[in-house]
Amino acid sequence: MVKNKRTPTEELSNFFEAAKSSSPIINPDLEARILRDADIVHNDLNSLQNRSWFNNFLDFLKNLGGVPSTVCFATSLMMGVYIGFYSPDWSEPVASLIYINSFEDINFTGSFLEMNELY
Amino acid sequence: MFNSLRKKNADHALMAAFADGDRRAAQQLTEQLMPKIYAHAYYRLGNTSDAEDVTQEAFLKLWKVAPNWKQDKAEVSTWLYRVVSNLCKDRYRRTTLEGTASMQEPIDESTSPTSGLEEQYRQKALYTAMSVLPESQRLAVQLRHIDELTNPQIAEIMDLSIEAVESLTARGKRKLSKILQTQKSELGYNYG
Repeated sequence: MVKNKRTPTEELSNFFEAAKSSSPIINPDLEARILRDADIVHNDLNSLQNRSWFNNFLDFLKNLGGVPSTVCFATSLMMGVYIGFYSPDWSEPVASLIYINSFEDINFTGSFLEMNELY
Repeated sequence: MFNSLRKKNADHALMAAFADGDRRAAQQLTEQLMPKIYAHAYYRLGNTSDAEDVTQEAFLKLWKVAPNWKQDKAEVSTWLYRVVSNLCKDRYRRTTLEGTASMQEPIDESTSPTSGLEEQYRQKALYTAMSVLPESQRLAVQLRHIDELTNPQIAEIMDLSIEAVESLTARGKRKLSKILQTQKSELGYNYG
């Protein structure tokens, strides 16, 4: 009787070879399912690319926080543009709102609204 | 090395083509990678339906990631192995909890016509022994010796250093040898 003199490593590699030599049967439907998924993802990608700028803009507004945020954003944008272009002198109306006749009445060089004198 | 680099670039090109709307790129990637990925999933999970689901899910993730695929990323196959490996881990945990993990035998015998039965014995013995190994050792051994990936690829898949992979593989193999030696006498056949 011939004694088996293979090393454990050699024996183990026989097992690995056995595992590699027989591959599991692949269901032919699997490839079709995978390619169907690929088509679905493709269509989604195409529809995303084909969206008009208006749809993207609507999405942007939605992300901004809906109608109230959009209105506030638009108002502040218009105000900013108006102030930027026309630089209106609003010192008098603002002064009347806070009961000061003129900004010139305020002495900016002295104590702040004479508050220092309280202490 | 040159071949693997060329293959990597080819796979990247296929991913880019798919993202640009080329359906044939998807088909080519599927034909190239699906058998390996499916086999890996099958030998990890032990049943065809789970392996199919996991393979399909991994490829779906691949299609979704295609538009943002970067050239400097890993090889497509390595990326897929990583995904499928994680999916198998989740699935395996679930099936183990449900107690349904059992190996079916839908093996393609046409690839080993000469010694089909002995090969099947060896294969069954190997997977039974591997199921005893800790998860990380089992994965490292499978990726290295059955899926035939390189240590750097395995390190990338398992998120470990190359040295850690080498150590895991070596320990796994030592343990496998021991288990198979005991099985040898228990099963009563000489597989050496």
